[in-house]
Amino acid sequence: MTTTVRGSIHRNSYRDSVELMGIAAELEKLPGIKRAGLVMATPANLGVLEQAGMQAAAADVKGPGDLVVAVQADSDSAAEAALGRAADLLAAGAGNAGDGEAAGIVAPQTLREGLAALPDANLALISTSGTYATAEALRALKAGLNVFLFSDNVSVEDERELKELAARRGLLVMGPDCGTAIVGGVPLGFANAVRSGPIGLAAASGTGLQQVTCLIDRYGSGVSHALGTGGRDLDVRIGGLTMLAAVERLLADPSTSVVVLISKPPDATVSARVLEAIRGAGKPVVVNFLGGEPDAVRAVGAHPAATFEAAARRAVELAGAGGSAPDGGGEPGDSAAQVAAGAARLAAGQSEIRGLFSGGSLAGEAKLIIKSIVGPDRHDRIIDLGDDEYTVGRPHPMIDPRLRYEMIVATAAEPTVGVVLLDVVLGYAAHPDPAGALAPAVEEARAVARAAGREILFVASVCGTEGDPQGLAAQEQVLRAAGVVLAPSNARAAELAARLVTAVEPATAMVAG
Amino acid sequence: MAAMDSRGSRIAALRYSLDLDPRARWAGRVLSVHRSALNVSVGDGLLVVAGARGGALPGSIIVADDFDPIVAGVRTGMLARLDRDLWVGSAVAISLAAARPWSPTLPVIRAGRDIGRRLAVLGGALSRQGTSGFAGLASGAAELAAFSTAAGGDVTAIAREGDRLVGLGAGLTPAGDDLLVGFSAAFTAYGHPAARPLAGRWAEQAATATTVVATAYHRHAAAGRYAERLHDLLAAILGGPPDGISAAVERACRFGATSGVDLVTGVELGLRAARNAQVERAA
Repeated sequence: MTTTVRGSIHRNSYRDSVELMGIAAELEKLPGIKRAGLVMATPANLGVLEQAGMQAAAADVKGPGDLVVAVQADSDSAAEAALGRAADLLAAGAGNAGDGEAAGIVAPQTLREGLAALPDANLALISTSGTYATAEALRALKAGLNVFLFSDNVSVEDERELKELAARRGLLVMGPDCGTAIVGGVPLGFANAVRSGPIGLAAASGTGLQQVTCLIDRYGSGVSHALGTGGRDLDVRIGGLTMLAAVERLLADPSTSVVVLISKPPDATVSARVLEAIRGAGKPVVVNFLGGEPDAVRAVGAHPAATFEAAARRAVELAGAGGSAPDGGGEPGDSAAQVAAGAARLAAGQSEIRGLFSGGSLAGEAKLIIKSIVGPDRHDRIIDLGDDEYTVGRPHPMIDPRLRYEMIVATAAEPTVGVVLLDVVLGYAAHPDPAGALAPAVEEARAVARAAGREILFVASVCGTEGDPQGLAAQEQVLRAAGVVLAPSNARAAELAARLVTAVEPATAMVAG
Repeated sequence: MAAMDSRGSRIAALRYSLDLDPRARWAGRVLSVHRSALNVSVGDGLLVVAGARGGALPGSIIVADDFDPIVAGVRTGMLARLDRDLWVGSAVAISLAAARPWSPTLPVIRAGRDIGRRLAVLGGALSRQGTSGFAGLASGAAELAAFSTAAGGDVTAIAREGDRLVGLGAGLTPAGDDLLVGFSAAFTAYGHPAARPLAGRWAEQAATATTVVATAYHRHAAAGRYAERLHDLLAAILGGPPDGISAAVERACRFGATSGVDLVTGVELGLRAARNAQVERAA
């Protein structure tokens, strides 16, 4: 069999050893290739090529800064194909795009390169560390792009400057720390697969946006756009700049017939400014500012909603067009008798709720609802596991459920906890099987509690749709099989948890003596 | 410092190596760009800008860990100039105003009587680490074996066999050069009188026999200047608590793709050679 040796020289191409060895290993898997190596053209390495009978590959070397790709093959065509593949892989490698001899695919590495590849782009999705996020967002805005800014650790001053620039240029900055949006039917970040339809949303609340859009889908209607503003947009220092811009766009958008605004409790001044902007709007607007004043919303002609579920219901009713929200209830565990039966399984004194949430807005809504039912003087702990305190050095709980697993099991050892309240969030970018990951934790916790002579109740809602990669029905089935009581929304789950613990007998005091 | 600038990303340097003069003015070209570092060719020397995680280097400016020159738009061939700040094209401006100086000069560290036990721990820890750059086509098995054998003998043999390692192996800094720099560092820290002459010999060879980046590290070694990770590693092996040696080895081996493993291999060979020489002198 004939053997041919061919080579290519890449000038000033500096790659690390693992990358070069990896490319060599890949070339050696190609048909007809006997041996391959990528080495810097130092005298020592050229000596190695000579010992291997491959010195011909280095014929055009000019100095030790040259990278030699050497292949030994059983045909010229196999060798050529391998050298071509090497050139593609080197060109696709990060950073050193200065090699004029490289051919093939070059993945864009900067905004400028991305725009060269996609000149009609109108949105940049930016997810870099905070130091560079602002500079990248600036570049994008100056290039005429709207921005979805997933990055956090952007200062208040920078956020303000970006949003003011966007306003001057007629662009939108969604973020910083914006995790969810749907623009023209395209999901961005942690979004769900929801039906297209006439309801447009603007939200300073990621999981709030997910909950409302999923319920809109469940009630048979759909979403035109779901715009995220970033969690700090309605802070007094930012002034609701993106919310105001989003409202303007949604009111002008012909595909949107109903607008929904969602936020965690906003600053009063900013809230008033946003409400003023929707006074006399030509379309119905539903306002779900958690903890907000419904009368202030009615005063501008808009529709107040106290919970994410209420916002979705009202929006679907206003949109008409075939969608309809089912009446409240209908899920097991909701009737008074079923609540009483559930509470009877708990021992006296097991009257605390432990909320372990992956969504900050869902945790916030649950806290408000529980407090409104059971009162303020309680020892319940509703924890947002996506808070910085819990995510330093580890992925977000929507992606990695391990911390929540540990905390669920640990909670079973606490004799005063009667109900564990959970959210399970589906969608793009979320864990591929969150119910499957949590079910064993629930079973283990229940076993721990039983061993101590107690029951512990699990109440949850699943925020998702059938169209999500995980599948809503399949996820709900897994949770039910593990003994979790499901509610159709986060608000209903919180209500149910509160009703269960208020039906529990208080512990009797120990009498000394 | 403002996080943004219309010209690009603007960041503050945390430290700079004392062999750099921050008041100098010069221009160079970007030689290579990596995820958390970039190399700038200045005359026949090299400036490295790197994130803090890997530690300081001779001839370096150290910035925060999230430094990503690729994302910032730095490309090979871009003009770089030092004029109070370091400007890299229109992509990055690095201020040195608040940077603290760091000395790359490696001191002599007196080895204790338990050096034998410490070397055993070092060897065990190294054997559990990852890939060497001596692999694939340029495995260097024969050259490495010859150098290892020579390291047990006299300096002349070490010098001669070390010559064969200059420029040998894969990567931006070939494995042979990483090993020789680690070896020289060990000799320097141990106080072996041949440390500088050996490093100087290999630096002279390197100028025509290896990459620009590896040559720069050889030249620093010839002047007694080494990377902070080598300072930390040798301090841990020679002077720290023995149960900290394994962790120090692990940290040092994580540097680069394979460079860390090859550097530490060189350190082990150098310490053993220096200890053997000390034992022979004492005998």
